[in-house]
Parts: sequence; structure tokens; C-alpha cells
Amino acid sequence: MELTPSPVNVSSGVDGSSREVATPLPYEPSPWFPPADCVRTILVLRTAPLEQVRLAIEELRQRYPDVRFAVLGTGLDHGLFDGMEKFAIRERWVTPRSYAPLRRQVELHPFDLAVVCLNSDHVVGYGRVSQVMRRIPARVKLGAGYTGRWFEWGHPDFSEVPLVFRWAINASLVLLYPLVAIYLLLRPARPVYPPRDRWRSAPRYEP
Amino acid sequence: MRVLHVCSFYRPLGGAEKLLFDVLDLLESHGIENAVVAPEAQSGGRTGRRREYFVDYLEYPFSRADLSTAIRDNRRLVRIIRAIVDKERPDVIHLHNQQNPFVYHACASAGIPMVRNVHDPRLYCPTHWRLLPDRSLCPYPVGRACVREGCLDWTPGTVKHVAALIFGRHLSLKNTTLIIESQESYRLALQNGYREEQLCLIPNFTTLRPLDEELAEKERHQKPGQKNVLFVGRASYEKGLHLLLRAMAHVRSDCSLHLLTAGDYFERSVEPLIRSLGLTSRVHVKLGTGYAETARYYSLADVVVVPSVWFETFCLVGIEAFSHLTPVVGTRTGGISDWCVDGETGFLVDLYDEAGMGQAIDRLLTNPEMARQFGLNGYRSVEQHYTGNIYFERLSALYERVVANGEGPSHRHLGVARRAVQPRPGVPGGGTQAEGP
Repeated sequence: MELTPSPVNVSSGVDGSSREVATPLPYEPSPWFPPADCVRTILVLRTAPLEQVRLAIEELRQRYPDVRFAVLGTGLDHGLFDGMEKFAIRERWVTPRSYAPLRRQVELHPFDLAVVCLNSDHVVGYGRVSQVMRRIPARVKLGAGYTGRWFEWGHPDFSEVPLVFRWAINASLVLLYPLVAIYLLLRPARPVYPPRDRWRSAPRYEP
Repeated sequence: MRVLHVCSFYRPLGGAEKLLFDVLDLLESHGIENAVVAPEAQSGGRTGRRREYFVDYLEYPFSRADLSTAIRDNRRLVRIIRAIVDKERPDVIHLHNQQNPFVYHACASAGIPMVRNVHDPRLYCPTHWRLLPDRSLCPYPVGRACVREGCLDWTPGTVKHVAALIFGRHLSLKNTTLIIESQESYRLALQNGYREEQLCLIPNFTTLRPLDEELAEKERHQKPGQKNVLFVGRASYEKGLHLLLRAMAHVRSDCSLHLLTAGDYFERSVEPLIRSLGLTSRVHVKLGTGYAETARYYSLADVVVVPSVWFETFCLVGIEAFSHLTPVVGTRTGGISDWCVDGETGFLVDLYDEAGMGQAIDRLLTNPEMARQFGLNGYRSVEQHYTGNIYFERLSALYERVVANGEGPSHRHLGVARRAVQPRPGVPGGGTQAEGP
């Protein structure tokens, strides 16, 4: 999910004969970062292994050299977070409940940018983290994926359907059966095309 | 003009993808600005030639088993597509080989005129290829015949698939212009409830080199005393490899059959047939051949065979063969009869007529002068009807027409406000550019 297109190389014009249409170019992580002069404070959610968080912070430092960092999460006793404002979660996971005691403190410092670090490129398992992200006051919110992909955070992407609802939705599939059947049965089987004199039965080519 | 192309595959795969890349190149060479949205999993990487957006889960609406996950993914997809459309602000959205109705819905809600290529009958056939369970051509429109003829197996996957088809069909019926490639496809679309004014017949095109270059290339590749028959296409039932292999039993000339194909159907079904028919010494198979290599084979071949047993929507292979001065033997079905003139650029044989196909191949192999003349006639027909310039004229006229007429989708059924599209100065206001059959 990347909403910033790649740069356009110099076109070589119409080249119908050469089909070099699929030459992979190096990945360029350059999506929806706000301009440097709009960002003074960044909050990083330490919700991925340290190495991935480090990559995300390096990328951010490169883009915003003079910015003030803050970090929220567990296991913040590491040199990587030195000099940052720390919002340490006392429980094992970052959840709305474990975040609740820190909420007031965080709201005192509205951030220009909040970044959630992911352990993969998928959002599965980050539903509660996303609920925390939703409560964080920040003008721009981004996600940093495992492979270096950055994307715009959106809660609907992360929201996990509760088990009961998931079961209900999947069970509702049975409703599709009568709907599909009724739709098809109400539609006529005419006109036929091609006309009957062109109909031929296929030989049994396959066993 | 800015055009946003949405496709399910953005890598060299088959005829539809070749056409996609050729169309993109063609439009850009005429100053039209393109942007592409494609699924990351089905793209070969960035080309850097245009703005490219890669989006997950674009191809099929229910590619993941769990319905609630699929609903969540598709909601997310709709949001992303809308964001891309907002960012690009295209004049036209061009859908290529796109089967996901949620993508259609996302594009439709932007209120921008949409055109859509129809490369196969999937808009109106739950089995994709419009073949009945006994594999004969289906003459019925989508409807109760699908139930009566036993085309649906009523598994949850099929039901979700048919529901997606119904949704997609419903959306495409609303003021979207369909680019139809052949007269047979045109009639099938009419049969399935599409209105004549929303259909535009634009046959495919291929790149054409100067005649003397092609003649020299042909001379360079063809060896005296060696006869070559060529099949290009995916290994699947509807492409008729079974028919071709059986027809080879009726070919008396000493020749080699080259199959440029791909797909696990080959190992499963075609390879055993080659062995059982005793054709192993005559048949040479090349899997996953690139477009450039395929062009070399066209020059090498004395005859190209298109043995399709479905409503072939166009079959680019035929005009590609002509552009390399090679005659074609094809079945009388779908769009093949549009470009193959029996006795002039090749031979047409009836569906499933193995003996007739073998004899037609034999006639061209044993009569090089006739084959040469047919190939030349084919080249001339491509020159007259199927070049990039002709295609561009038709496509750009269609774009201008839909933009000028504001032929955006109607959104009353979606509850979304429609953006007014203002006619542009200097653009002809009405009048269809479509060539009816």
C-alpha cells in the first residue's frame, strides 16, 4: 500500500519490440511524509523488534534532522532511545488499557507525526495498537512496515473483527445462496447466441 | 489528457498484458499522461516509465478465504483507490482485465468517466470461458441457464464468485463504456443486456516493422527443407491444444510443431496427450517464452495455428503472425473470423474439425507460394486495420467522447454525488466513434 508513485524515468519512446516492461527498480520509501518544516515533534510507537524500530528512526532522523523524538511502548531501556522523551508502558503489550495511565501525559504534547512500527507488512495482530494510535494526538500518522514500506495509518486497516462478528459475517454467507439463486433464476435464458444451427457438441478431449 | 489505468496483472503474461503495455507506450508516445494501479503480487516491478501504484488484494474480491477479512480488505482497497484517484485527478479511468467489483465501485464513486476492456466473457459468465459443463460453447446469457445447465457447483467459493460477478455486472451496466475487441464479443455483450451505446468496437493492434525488414527476418530464420508449425498461447482447454495435437495426425508433410505455452495444464493434460499420440519427436515445447523470443518464432514458422474452442474475444496471436508474414489456420469462432479471411490470409476450419485443420495446415506447408501470398495478405491487412496509429485514433476518440459527454458512472444507486464533467473546448461533443458490427 504505497500512495506515492515512483519517479518517471526518461522515456525511450514507443518501443513495441522490446518488452522490458518488468525490470524491477529498487524500492524507494518516499510516501506520505509531511514536509520537514512542518514537523517538530515525532512520536514513535515501539511496537516491533528493536532492529525494525531502529530502521524507522534512522529513516525519520534522515528526513527530519532537527526534530524532537518521543517513544511510547515497552522495553525502552535501550541506547536507541537515549535523549528521547519516553512514555513507558508498564504492562506487557501496548493496549488501550495499558495506555490509559499515559494518555493525559501524551495529550499534553500534541505531535506533528506519529509512527507505528509493524513486525511485518501486514496489519494482523495490531488491532489494539491501532486503537492506541487512534487516541494519540498527531497531525499525521504513518506506519512503518517490516520491509521498509511506509504507509499512511488508517484505523479501518487494522481493526480486527471481533470473533463473534467474524462468525456472524461468515455465517451470513448462507444468505448469498438464495440471493444468487433468485437473481439467476429471475433472469431469462433467452436470447440464445450463436443461433442453433451453429451449435456443436464438443468431443470428449479430456477423460 | 491524464488516464489512470487499473489492471490486475502488470507483468508480461499473455495477450491482454501485451496489449496493456503496448497501449501504455502508444498513449505516452502521443503525449497522453498515464498512471497505473496494479496489485503488487502480480507486477514484475516498477518500469519507471510512468507513475505506478502498487496495491494489495486488487485482483480478486475474495482471494482470501475468510469473508470478514475479505470485506475488511476490500473496504481498505476502496479507500486506497479513492485516494489515488483524488491524487491523480485523471480525465478518464481505464480498467484493464479487472475482475474485482470493489475496484470498479471505488473508481465509479469518483464520478470520472470510465472505459473498460473486455478481454473475456467474465463480465457475464460464472465459468469464465462461456463453455457448458460438456465443454461445448454456451449459447445462453447469464441467468437461469447457468443453474439449469449445471454450470454452478454451489460451493461457498462459487457463490461468492457469482455474487461478485453480479455486483460487477450491475456496476458496469451503469454508463461505463466497454471496449469490445471483435464483432462476436459485441453480440455477446448485447445478448447479456449491455446497451449498444455503451459498446465501442476497437480491435486490438500490433507493432509493425517495414515490409523489407520482415522479409529479411523471415528469410534469415527459415531454413530450406524445414517446415515449422507454431502455436502460441496458454496451456488450457479453451485454447484448443487438444484439437491441434489431434489435427497433427492428419498432417502428411514432414514438419515440427512448436508450442510456446505456459501453465500447469500442460504437464497435467497436454504432455500425456503428446506422448499418447506418439508426437514426441515432432513436438517442441517452450514454456514461458518472452515476447521478443516469440517474435523470432513467428518469423521461423510457416504456419501459425489458432485452434481455440471458445468464443475467442480477439486473439492477438493472429495479427502478430500476420505482422511477421506468417499465414494462420484458425477455428471459426469468436473474433478469429474478424481478422482471418478464409482463403486470403489463412484458412478457417469448423470447431473440433481435426481432419479439416490438419488438411489446412498441410495445404499451406506443401504450397509455399500460397503460404507466402497469404502471409503477405495478412501483413497488408494489419497495415490497413490493426496498427498502433489506427488503434490510437479510435481509443483517443473514445476518451474524448466520454470526457466531452461526461459519461461518468451514474451514482444514484451508490448514493454518491457525481462530479460534473465539463465539456472541453475543441472536443467534438457527441456522435459515437464506435464501429458497430
